[in-house]
This record gives sequence, C-alpha cells and structure tokens, in this order.
Amino acid sequence: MRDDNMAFMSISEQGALLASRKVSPVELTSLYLDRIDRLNGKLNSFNTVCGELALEAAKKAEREIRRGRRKSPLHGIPVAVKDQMNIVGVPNTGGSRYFKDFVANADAGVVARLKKSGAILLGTLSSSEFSMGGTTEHLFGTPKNPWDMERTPGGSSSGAGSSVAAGLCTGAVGEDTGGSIRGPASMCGITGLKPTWSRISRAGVYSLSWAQDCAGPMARSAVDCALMLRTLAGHDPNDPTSSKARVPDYASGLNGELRGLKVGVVEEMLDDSYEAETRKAVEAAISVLGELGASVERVSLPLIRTALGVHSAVVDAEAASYHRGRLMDRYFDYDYNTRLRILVGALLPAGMHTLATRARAAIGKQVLDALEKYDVLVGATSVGGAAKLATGTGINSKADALSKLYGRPGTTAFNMSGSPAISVPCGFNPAGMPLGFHIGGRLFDEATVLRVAHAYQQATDWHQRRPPVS
Amino acid sequence: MPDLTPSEVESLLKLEGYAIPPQELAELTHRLNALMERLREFDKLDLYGVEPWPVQLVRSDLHA
Repeated sequence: MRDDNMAFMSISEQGALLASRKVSPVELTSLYLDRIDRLNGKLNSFNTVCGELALEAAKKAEREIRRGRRKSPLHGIPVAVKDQMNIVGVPNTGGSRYFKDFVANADAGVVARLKKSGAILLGTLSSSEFSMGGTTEHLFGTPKNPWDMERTPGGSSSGAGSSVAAGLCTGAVGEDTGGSIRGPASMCGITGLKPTWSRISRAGVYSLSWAQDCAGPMARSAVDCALMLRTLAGHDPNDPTSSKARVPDYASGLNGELRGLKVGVVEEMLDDSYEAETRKAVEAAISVLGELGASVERVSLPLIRTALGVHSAVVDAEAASYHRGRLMDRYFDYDYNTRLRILVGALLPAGMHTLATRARAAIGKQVLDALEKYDVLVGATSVGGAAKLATGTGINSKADALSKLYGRPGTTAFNMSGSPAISVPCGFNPAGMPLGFHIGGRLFDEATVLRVAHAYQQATDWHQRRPPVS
Repeated sequence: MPDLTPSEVESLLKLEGYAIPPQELAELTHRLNALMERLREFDKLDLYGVEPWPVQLVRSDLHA
C-alpha cells in the first residue's frame, strides 16, 4: 500500500481506517518511515528515527486492534516528540553536543502516556539547543521549513512544526516556554497548543524555565490537538507540580458554536509592529469569529510590549542556574548563541532578576484580569511569516540586541499568565509563508480555546493546505 | 545610566567563575547592556504590592 495522501490525514481519519482495518498500524508506520527516509535529509526534522522500535510497537498495535481492542484515538497513530523528552533507549540530546551521547533510561511523563495510549513513536524531533532559540550550528543539521527550504521552521520546536507540516508524522509533542510551540506552528502552517502550565507533566523533559515550561500537542487541526491533549494531560507523581485537575474529553465540546462568546482583540498583538499582511490575515480571522456569533471588542494590555525582555531576564537566569556546572565544564559543547544567552542570565544582577520576576507577575495578572471579562484573547502569533535562515546571530550592537532579542512577541505573556493558547493557520504572506492566529484562554480552560479554534477551522480551510515538499 | 564596558563585563565573568574567548566579549557586552536597559524601564512602573510568584501559582485555587 502506498498513498502519500494518507500521511496528511487527521488522527480521526487515520483512526477510522485503523479501526475498520482498511489500513494497519504497520502500513501507516511504514508509510511515514519511508517519507522520513526520503525527506528528512532535506528538512532535518528528525534528530533520531526509531524505525525498529516504531515497527515493533506498530505490530503490537496491529495485534491488539485485530482483537478488537482499540484502546484510544491515538492507538496505532504515528507521532514523534521533541528532542528534549526522554524515550527509553533513545538519545535525548536536547539538540546539544553536550548530550549527544546521552541515552534515556526512563520515559518522560508525556512519552509514557503516549505509549500507554498505543501511539507509535517514530523518534525525536529537532529543537533549538535546550529550547533556547537562535541556535547557530544545529547538531543534526539546520532544520528547514517545508514551505520554503531557505527559511526557518521557527523554534524551538522546529522539527515538530516541520514534520507535521511535511507529512512525516500525524502529530507531535513540542514544548513551549515563551512561544516555542505556537511560533513553529504559525510558521509551518499547522495547529499548536500550549496548555495551561502544569496541565502536562514536565518529568523527563529538559528544563528551560521551571515555572513556564509546557509540553503540548502540534497537529493538523484543533480536533487533533484535543485528542492528543486528552492523552497527554493529567497528574504525574514524577512531576509534583503537575495538576490533579480532572482531564475533560476536549474533543466532545467541539461543535463550531460561538454564540455568546466574548472575544478580546489584544491591540498590542496586532499593532503596526506586526507586518501588514499578518494584520490583514488576523483581522479577517477575527471577522470570521464575529460571523460565527461571537461578540468582539478591542482591549489594550500595554505590559505585553515589555514581555520579551522580562521573559529573557527570567528564563536566561534560570537557564544559567540549570546549566552552570555543565557550561563551566565544557563551554564549547554549547552553541555560540546558547552560551551567550546563558552568560547574560548569569551576569544579571540579582536585584534585576527579582524585578523581572515581579514584572512577570504583573504581565501575567494583566492577561488573567482581561480574561475575567473575555472568554478568549486573540491576536497574531508572530510578527510575520518565517524568515530566511540566518547565519550567525546578527548582533553587532546594543541596538541589534534590543530589537532582535528583547523586542515584542506577545506569545510570552501567555506563558507568564500560565494560560492555554493555540496558534491556528490563518493565511499566507506574499512570500507564500503561513501566518498564525493566536487564541488564548483562561487557566485550565483549554476546552474553550479549542472550541474557538475548531469553529474557525470549520469555517476556513487554511489548516488543510499542504507545503510543496515531495 | 552608562553602559558596561567589555572589561567590566570580563570582571563580572571572573566573579561568576567563567572565562570566555576574547572574541565573544563584545557581543556578550551588547546583549547584557541591552537587557539591562530594557529592565530599567520597569523602574518607572508601579510594582507596589506585586510579589515575584508566578501568577498561575498564586491562583492555585483553579488547580483543584
């Protein structure tokens, strides 16, 4: 059997084929392994491909499904995780030379849940080094965007974005500390959900910032994200900060209905610092929500303008603590950009760091206060489409650093509030690169965020477009 | 507030226990000065009563 169209099907569509035994998990897994074999050399989406382990798991799933025991919507579905998450017997490099020989001896919480659900793990996906973004030399080759090989897929969950977009897996698990799921989702034209902080276990996942790191699903649609989240979410004794809150059946509430919903359009996530085509596409997306019955108002959250600087101060200082001994021990095993970011965090005066943590609380509170009036807050995910691949950091002055490192993206504000937020495709810029529509919601209310995203995707077809990669 | 010079940044590095190649010092200095400038903007912000806890932890009643 060979039908590349199947590689772009949703979890539900593939699930129906598996349940009716028109396709077997081994056939589906083999299809993806073949596509990875053909395309990964161009895209550098995967860092490690677990072909044998995947086929072994697929055979097991095939036996179980044949006996009529399909145990979850992910049973027999091929997925992959960011190279930041432990899979027993598989390298977890964090995208770093430092851990190039590290092989995990226990599964991360998210991996254990995927295995329990019967999902097939295809391997680990490329990441900026230790999820810090801006890596100048990738350990396994520079990840490329399937919409244009000369452009970045975004980061840090680069491979998760590009692999789903290119039909190398059905869904992926990324990780988001300041926008690392939503950014690549936007730039690769897929759907990516950062859940509420603590909704998903962080056990067995390299840390960037303890109070902001969030694993989450990246897939073709809000429905697929809902199905994956149901599997991934829940308390894990190995992560005492993981929430014990009940995990709803997120997919059951997706009905396309938005009447009575209150939408706040965040002015600071759609002002003239965003490219004109981005603003146009997002305004059109907002109109769709209005047509579907939502009431829409503009809201100003001025502290969002400061979010990225605050984010860097908090996160880089935490990274300086997390990596201190290792960086001192093997400085040149860290990428140039990573080590400079960590050093800035190390040199930041303690008073400034504490000031930043208080500013983080103020920014997060502003978001949550607005969410008492609105069911969701919306805006653009990224300033524009994916940029050309960069060589070096391009920072030759303080002004460069201010604009390139400590400028805008509003996505980080939703890490500071801990809120769930999703990016869905909403159009293309003149260069043919996908654009993302950002929808954030109340703590633990992923259901509403997914409902809005699904209603939008019922009314549009941006999420069904495929990149010209073959 | 004047910017830090590369040699001042080098002294801070020494205090922290790091020694880095001289060719990396200029960019590190730009980055540190830029971030400090960004954070100084918060001196103007009224953070009275704002404590440094992540806000989602403070609202932990929502976790139950």
